[in-house]
Order: sequence, then C-alpha cells, then structure tokens
Amino acid sequence: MKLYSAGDQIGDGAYRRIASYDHASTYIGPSDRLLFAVTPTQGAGPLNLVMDEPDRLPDKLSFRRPCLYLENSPTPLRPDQLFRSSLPLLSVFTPTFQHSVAFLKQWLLANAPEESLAFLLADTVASPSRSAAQRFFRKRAMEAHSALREGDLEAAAQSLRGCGPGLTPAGDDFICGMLFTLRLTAPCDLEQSSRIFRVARGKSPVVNAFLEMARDGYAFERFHLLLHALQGSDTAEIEHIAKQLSVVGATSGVDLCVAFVLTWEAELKRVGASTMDAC
Amino acid sequence: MKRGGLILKGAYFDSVTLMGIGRELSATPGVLDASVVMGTDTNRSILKAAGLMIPAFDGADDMDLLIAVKAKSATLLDQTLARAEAALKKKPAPAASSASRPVATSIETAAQTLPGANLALISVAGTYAAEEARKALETGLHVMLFSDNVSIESEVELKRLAKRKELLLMGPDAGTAIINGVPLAFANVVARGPVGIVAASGTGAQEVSSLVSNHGAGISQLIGVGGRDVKRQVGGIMFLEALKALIADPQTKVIVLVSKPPDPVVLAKIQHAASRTKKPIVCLFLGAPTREGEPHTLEEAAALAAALAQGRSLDSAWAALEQQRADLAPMIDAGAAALPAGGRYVRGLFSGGTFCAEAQVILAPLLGKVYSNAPTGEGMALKDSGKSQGHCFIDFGEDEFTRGRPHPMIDFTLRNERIHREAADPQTALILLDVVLGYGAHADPASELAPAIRDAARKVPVLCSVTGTDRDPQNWAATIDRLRRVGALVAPSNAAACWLAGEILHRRGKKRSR
Amino acid sequence: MPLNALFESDLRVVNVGVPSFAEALRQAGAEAVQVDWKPPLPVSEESRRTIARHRARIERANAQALERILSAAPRWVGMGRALDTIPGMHEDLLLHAGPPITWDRMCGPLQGAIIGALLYERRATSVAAARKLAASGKIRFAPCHEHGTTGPMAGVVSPSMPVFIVRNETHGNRAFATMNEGLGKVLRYGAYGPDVIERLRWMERELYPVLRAAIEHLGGIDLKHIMAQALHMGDELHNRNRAGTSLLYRALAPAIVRTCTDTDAAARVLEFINGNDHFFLNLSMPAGKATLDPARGIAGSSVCVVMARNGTDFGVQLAGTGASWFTGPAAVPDALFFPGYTRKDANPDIGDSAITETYGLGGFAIAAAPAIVQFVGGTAADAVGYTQRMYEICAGESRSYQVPSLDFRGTPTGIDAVKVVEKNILPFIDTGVAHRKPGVGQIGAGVLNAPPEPFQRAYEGLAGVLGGKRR
Repeated sequence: MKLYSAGDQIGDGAYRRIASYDHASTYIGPSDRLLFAVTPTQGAGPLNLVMDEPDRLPDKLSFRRPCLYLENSPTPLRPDQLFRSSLPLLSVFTPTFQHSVAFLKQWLLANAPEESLAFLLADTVASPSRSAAQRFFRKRAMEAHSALREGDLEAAAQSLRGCGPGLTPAGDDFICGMLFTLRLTAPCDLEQSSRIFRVARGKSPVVNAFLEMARDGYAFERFHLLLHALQGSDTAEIEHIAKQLSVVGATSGVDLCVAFVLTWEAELKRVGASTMDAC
Repeated sequence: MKRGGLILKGAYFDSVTLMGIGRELSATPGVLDASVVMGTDTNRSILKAAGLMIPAFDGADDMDLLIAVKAKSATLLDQTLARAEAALKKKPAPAASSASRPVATSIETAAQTLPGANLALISVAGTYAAEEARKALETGLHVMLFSDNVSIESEVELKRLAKRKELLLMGPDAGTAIINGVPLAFANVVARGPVGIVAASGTGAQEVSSLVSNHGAGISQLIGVGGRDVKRQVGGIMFLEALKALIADPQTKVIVLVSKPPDPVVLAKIQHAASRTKKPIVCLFLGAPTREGEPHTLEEAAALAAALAQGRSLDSAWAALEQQRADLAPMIDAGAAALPAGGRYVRGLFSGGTFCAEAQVILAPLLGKVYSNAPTGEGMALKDSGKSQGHCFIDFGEDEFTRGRPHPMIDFTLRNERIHREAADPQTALILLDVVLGYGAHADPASELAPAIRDAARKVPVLCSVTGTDRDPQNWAATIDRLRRVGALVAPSNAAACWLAGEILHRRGKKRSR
Repeated sequence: MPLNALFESDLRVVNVGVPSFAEALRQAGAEAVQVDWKPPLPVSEESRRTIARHRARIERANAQALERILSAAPRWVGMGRALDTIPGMHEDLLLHAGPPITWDRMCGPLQGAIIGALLYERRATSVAAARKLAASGKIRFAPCHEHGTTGPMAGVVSPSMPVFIVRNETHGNRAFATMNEGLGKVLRYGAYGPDVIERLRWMERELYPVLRAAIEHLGGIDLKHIMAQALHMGDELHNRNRAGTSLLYRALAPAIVRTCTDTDAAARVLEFINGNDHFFLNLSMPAGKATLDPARGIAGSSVCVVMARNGTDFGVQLAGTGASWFTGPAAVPDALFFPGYTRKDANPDIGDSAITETYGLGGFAIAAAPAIVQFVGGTAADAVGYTQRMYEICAGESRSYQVPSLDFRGTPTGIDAVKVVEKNILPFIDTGVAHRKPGVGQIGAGVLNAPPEPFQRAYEGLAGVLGGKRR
C-alpha cells in the first residue's frame, strides 16, 4: 500500500468503514468525524487519505498522529505527507483576479454538464426541462441566486440546503463554495460563515463534514490550485484546473465553482468595485 | 399514469452512480419523470411539488436515497424501479483478501479452516454448550467452556472425556484463563513469567495474576477450571490435570492454587499431586483455616508467589505486606473522618464472586455476624438479596442478578442503583466495591461507576479496589485516578480494602468509647 | 495434543459464541476463527440422547451409505411403456411427485396434471369427467419414488407413457422417468389443454420409438460421464441442463440418423431435443434415483435417499428408516418471476427434482453454474458460498462430480439429517416455480431452503428406530 498524503483535519481515533465505492471508502470515527480514503485521481483534501487501492483497506483503522494504524500495525506519516488544507489570505479583488474569474465563468457556461447549477451563470433563462423535479430544483436554485445577488447569503443557503441530486445534494456543494469564497472575501467575518453553516447543517454526516471544513476554510487541493491559477492570467492553467475540478463527484466540483463565481461577484458588489486594488 | 418509488435506508452511493442512474431512468421510454435524490427536507418538498411524492418517502432522512418515478403504466413503473434497484445493488468486487474464505458453521469445519487450531472457546447458551464442548473435544481441541448453566452430570462426562483424550476442559462457567500469554474471555494483560496458576475461581485468578504482574513478576499459564471442579462429584479432574501439567512445564517455576476449600477427598488428591514436585506451591483455599506462613487472602498469595518467582525470601514478602498496611494509615483516618453519624454497617457490593467470598472471610472475624447472598465460611444467608441487613456482602454475579442481563462486570445498572440505595440507608457506615478491568470487562468501568460513587461518597466513605494492570485496555492507574477524583478511597487490593473497612469501623468504635 | 504440548504451541482458537472474544484474541496476537453458530433445530431430549448414544454407529452406517452412493454408475439403457416397465404399475394407478397425498389435498398444478393424464389415457373425455373420476377413488395415486420413478414438477406418470430406463451398473437396480415435454404449457405444470395432450401423444407415437431405437443401437449411454462433464460446462443439472442436453444430443444424433428411416421424423425428434434445454433433466433425475436407491435399508444411517415435494408437502426418506416418509409443509421459493407474475401467483415447491440435490447436484453444485446465479439473487461468490455451506451437512464428497471454481472439489454428497438438525443448516434447492392455477405453467425460477420439519421428524424417526432396537 502506498500512502501519498493525509489531510491535516483528520481527527485522531478509531474509524470504521461506512461506505465503499470503486475508488474510495468513507470511514466514520469519534464524534462522527469522517475520513475519506481516496485515490490520487481524487486528490488531497482536509479529511482525505490519498492512497493506492483505498477499497482494499480493512473495515477498521485508526489514526493517531503521526501514524495510521491498519490492523494494529502502524504506518508512520512523514511531515511532507501531511496535506495542509487551510486557505491562504489572498487579495481577491484585483483586476487580474477579476479577469480570471470572468474566464472561469465563460468556461463553466460552455463546458459544465447540463445537470449542474452552471445555468445560473447565464444571463438568459435556462431551457425548460422535461422533468418537473428538475424544474423545481432549478426554481430553488434561482431563488437562491437572487438572494445571493441581494447579498442575503443566509437566505440563499436556506433555499439550497439539501436540495438537488447527489450523495451530497448539489445545493450543499453550492453552499460549500459560498463558504470557501467568504473565507477569501471576508476573512474576518466568521459570524456570517457560522450562521450559514447553522442554516445549512443537516443530518448527513458526509454533508456536515464538508460544510464544517468549508466554514473553517479547509479546502481540498484542487481548490487551492484553482485560486493559485486565478491569481495569474494564464488561461490555459485555469482551464486545466477547472477540468480537474469538474470530475470531482458528479457535478460537485462544478457546482462549487459556480458558487465561487457567483459569491465572488456578490461580494464584489457588496464591498464596492471602488475598493478594487489597483495593481 | 402511475407514480411510485423506492427508499434505500442509510444508503451511501457515490454521486456519479446516482447521476448515471437518474439519467438512465429519465431516458427510459414511457417514463414521464424520475428523480434520484437523498431524502432531505428540501428534496422531499421538491418531489411533492413535482408530483413525485409517495407516502413511503414521508419518514425519509438526509441519508436515505429516494428513487421517484412517474411512468405511463404500472408495469413500466415496476420494471423501472426494479432496474434502478438492481443497478444500485450491484455490489463492488470483494477485496481480494476476503474472497473465498468459507464461513465455518461448526467447530469441526472451523478447525479445518484454521490449520493447527488447538483450543475452542465456547460461550453459547448453556443448553447447547455441553454438546459443542463434546464436539470440540472429539475434534481434538482443548476447551474453555465459558458458558454457565451446564449440568454437573455433563461436566463430569465432558471432563472424563477430556482426560481420556489428554485434553484440558476449563469450565463450565470458567471466566478466566491465560494460555501462552494470551488472555481468554475475562482476563488481564499481565507480564509473562514463571508463576503458573490453577484456579477454581475466576475473579480470584484475575486478582492474583494482576497482583503478581504488578509486583514485577509474571504468569506462565493461568488455568481456570470452573468453580465446581473441586467438588466431590467432579473430583477435581481438571484441577489435578492442570496441576500436573504445570509441574511438568519447564517455564513454570512457582505454582499458585486458588480455590474455595475443596472437598476433603479432592484436597487429599491435590496434596498428593503437590507432594511430587520440588517446585514451590502457594495454596490459597479461601476460607479454609490456615497455618502460620500460609496465605489467607488473594493478596498474600500473590505477594508470596511473586517473592518466590523473584528469588526473594518469604519474610521479605510478609514484611512488605506489613509495610503496606502501615502506609494505608492515612486512608483509615480519611475514612473514619467521613463516617456518617448513625451508620453502623459495611455494605459490600461486588461484581466478582471471589471478592465477595474474600470479604466475608476477612471481615467475619473482625465484625462478627456478616450476611451474603453467596455465604461463605462464617457468612450467613441473606433473606432477600434485594435488601441488605447488618454487615452485608452482595455478589451481583449470582443468578438472581444475571438472569437476562449481561455480567455485572459489563452492565453496571443494578450495582449502581444499589450503591445509591445503600448510600441513602442511614444504617450504612461504608460501602465496599470491587472494580475489575481486563478483556471481557466493561471498556470504561470508572465512568460507569463515577456518578454513583460521587453521590455515595458525599454521605459515606466508599472503599474500592481495582483488579488489573496498566497494560489492560482500561489502564489500571488511570482507573484508580478517576475513582479517587470522584471521592472513592482506593485500596491496593480487595483484601486491603476489606481490611481497611474493618479498621475504619474499629476506629469509630474507639472514638465512641472515648 | 497433550496439555504440555499446547504450552509449546502458538494459541489458535476456534471461538463459538460471543464474537468479541475472538476480537480480543486477535488483539492479543492469537489467531482466532469465529464459528457462525446457530442453535440446533429443536428435537426431543430423548431423541437427542438416543442419537448421541448411537453416534458411532450412525457414522459407520453413513459411511456405508455414502460408499454405495459414490460407487453408483447410472447408465441410460433403454425405454419402455410405464405399464410394462415400472414395477407395480397398473391400469388404474397414476404416479405423482413427492410424498403420498390424497386428491383433496393436491395443489392446483398436481390436480391439473392428473386431469391431463386421465384425458391422455382416454379415461375421461372432459375435464369435469376427469375430475369426477379422480375424486371417485377408482383411480389410485402413489408417489413416483415408491415405484423406482422420479417425476419433475407434478411428476404425473400414467400407464401409457413411455419412460427412460436408467440402470445402476454397479448395483444392478433400475430407475425410471418420463420424457421431458419442454417449457410453456405442459402437463408437469398442470396444463391439460388439447395442445398438451396432443404433444404427449406425439411423444408416445414418434419420439419414443425413435429414441428407443437409437438407445438400443447405442447399447446405452453413460450418464455419470455426461453429468461430470456438464458440471464443468456450467450446469448444475437441476435448473440448468443446457450442457447435459447438448452432450446427450451429440451422443444421440448419429444413432438417430442411422436408426430412423423417416428423415422427417428424425429431424422432428432432433429439433425437439435441441429446442428444450431441460431435456436432460429427465435423465439426471432417474440417474439420481438409481444412484440413491442402493443406500436404502442401511440400518442406522441418517443419509437422505429422497427429498421430494408434491406442491403441498415436502417429504424426506432416510437410508435407515425404511419406507417411512417424514413430511412438512412445502414452501414458496424465492424466485425471479417472469414478467407479469409475482410471489402471490406461485405454487409451493413441487416435484421430485430435488433428487438432484439429494445426490449432490442442483443447489448443492450451484457453484458450478454461475449462469444461473441470477436466480439466487446474488453474485458468483454467493453461489460458491451456498455450495460450501452444504458440505457442512453432507456425509462426504463426490468423486465424480466436481466444481471447477472450487479447485475441482467433489460436490457435497449424501445429506445427513442428523447434521441438518444439529447444525441447523437446511438443504439448499434451486428449482422452477409453477403457477398456483393448473395449466398456467412455469412462472419463474428460484431457490429455497428445504423446510425444517421433515428433517426434525426424520431425526426423531431415526432415534425411534435406534432406540427401539435397543430395547
């Protein structure tokens, strides 16, 4: 077994497997903390253990820094295997960043799958869906979008919580994207993030784990890379990482990006374009 | 047009699979609408608005997967749902390691799947236990028969069969053994060393092995043969076999025998077997009269065995025990100071039968009349196990407390309830408790007992001892620390706790007489 | 291993009961295997003691029964008319599947097949007349098994029907079965329409003489050999007989061409066999019967020589309990139903075809037949698990019939009723499912465990015989 990285937010304790997929396994540990064993194609994350063949792990494992214990035999982790997930403080209201976000928005509009929330990015009305359920999901998302544009992020979260398809419903992925963005645009306003978290929190341990990480600004590796790309003006790089993000979950990565773009725009409106750093 | 759905409780699927299935369903000809979502409040309200709600979805939860379908006909609906379910239930390939190891459904086949199997640990209900033990013996396995409620006739029959086959049969109702350093059922994690133990008493064996280990010596083998083995009907068959095996065992340098007083005939056989070795043998027949130099408590037996194992003189062991008593003086003061004004009696509440017996053996001479639901020696039978009278010692491992419940070392409900009750009784002077650690026992007994002890310690002194080692999963030192913090006085052994109880009450007597 | 030798070995523990003990042992570094233990099926204490007392004797008897079963060499040697061939057959007798049963207790499909047989025999000209005759008492009914015969599903055999003759070359005994009619609306599922009767007449008129001539020309076909090969080709010879049928077809075709002067008739016969994947079932069943019958009458043996169902009762006979039937209610199989049918439409389990399981094929060999595991509702690994479980209740393993996926281990053979009771593991049967109503036909295929009652009663019955002799 080869271990590539372990997220810095994995809690110490004993875990048991609660679900197993083709390339990933989900474990639950003390006070419902989660641990996701994933392959390198999924990438590092705050609660991820990145390794070869995660589906072959035993049903029980324990994690006590600096060791992972499988069947009581310890696998020590080198310091360089620890993935640091905390989002950096960045200047995100710069012309370069603005251009980059605009590029990302266009890319998403052109490439995002139909089931995703990318239709919110378009100025035109989305093509009507044959499915009534799909139409109601979209209606919810549009309500959330207008609340977001009004600057009422809590109302947006209220509309979207637990909404839509996916093990983590698309709405919850969107809320995670909102929380990550707030961490960048309003790094000192932790009150708002907490309120949104409380509104969004549900009964699914998986969703709650993602929301908690997002509230506290612990992001997965690809989101870090996206931010890095957005700070530059290399559109090829942005496109490359956007593609990588869009294979996370079914639409989770895309929905998160959509939320990022829309929240960033809303926040820009709130702080006023005049504050845009000139550089 | 027909509407229907499926709910998969607590299901985890990856989103890609879910999306794929949702797409496939929607694309099925004749399917008017379909949705595959987790059962959050929001999603359910959306399904309702979309006309896809069915009553079965009402109680759904965030972790339940809902599959809702609206189709042109009932047949089509059923087929579509069946296909969705089948797609979701397609199991991933099993991990290579667990591929084709067959599950054994009997002792015989299990012995085949585990090459070199040499012992069967049997804990099925008593009605079936004897038959399983017989099969294990026929298969050539040594047996530890944990189950109780096995008739004494079956026990004799099984032990004769075992002896004929040169096999060991521990039990029935054998709670404790350590074979080759491996604890079986209720046992502590002790150091390995030269002390071999044969015991017809489960908790007694735990106490002696733990104390020997805590003295810095270790255990070669601990063989628990079940309490009835030394009775006349069974004739000590396995006690004697185990003793002979330890005599022959080169790893064992010192032998400890722990039991209630055996039947005289059995005792004679044991003495005869013991006379045929030069290895020192420490005998503790709890409650039997002792001569000078012989141990009369579990603690003393352990101290003597440890001294012999470490090549120290027996005198040094006795001196250390004396010193220990002297060191406990502050606890006597503390206990005496906490004695309630009207309380007169010791109330001992035990999870280990041997501890209950030891308490009677130690305290009857000091206090006079003592009562118990499991009377030993001078102890008198308690009229009602649920109601204490006089100095009173309750064994919560007796049938009346264990029927339909786990053992009191695992389930503290009844004992905690009794601690509250005894503390509230104005006649109670102090409460005596045992706490047993190790495999098989509760994972955190201190936390289980803490609220009751905290409550009781406000009213009366609570004295307890902890049987175990620092290598036990619960950790001996941590457990003691925890108990002290909630107000218990923790003695180094059950015998010491009993002795302390006697001293504390005695001190009050003195105080009064002054 | 004497006690002192144990002290010198690594502790390896078989844990029966509290699973956490095994966990703790593993944590402490010992190897431990958990037994998936179940309490035995309830039987009387007296019987339990009797069986325990005679254990050695039972085991000896079972070894003898097993040897007779394993050494059997069933061979298809010829054909004949039931009336002339089956011992005890007479004009007023109809044989049926399963244990004995009266007309009024018969299930729909069995009654339907009886009606069909009376129409076929021209004993009645209408359904109403056939019913009346069947209920009149003039027609006698008897289990196939009591006449050396086995019948799939309703299993009705009437005097004019042609039957296969299978001889056990080792022991010289013979067994019989009718020819398989194919799928759809057929007599064995209780259908009695004109097309059903006409097919039966064609089978008598054309199929029978062609096959008889061919088999006589060949001098017999070794069924054991074909079955051993079929297991390697994905059959378990109960619910899947495709490979067996193909192998038989290869053996028969040249002989039919040589012996049948009417090429149209030869073609029809070959097409009929080719069109029916279950054609071989009616040979694998009498092969089983011929294999098991020599084990009858071995005193003290708890090996099953019959498991059979009549759609109402499930019956068992043991090698050591003579002609007694031990019965219990037949259950409805867990099945994959054909479109349009549900469990509500299903008839309780029916047919003598559980003879295949009784000699180590069918559900006992399901690990060899991954193609039918969809009926099991599981994976190929589940099928392996089912077969492996059956070893627990068998007296031994086949030397001839092997499962490739188990490294060619012999199939579990010789169901031991004492083990069934003591281990509480019931024989696993895979089977077709008939519609409750006569004449509808097969509505699904699936699996089920035999019901416990026949085995509990057989255990008591054997204890009675053993205890009685002692007195």
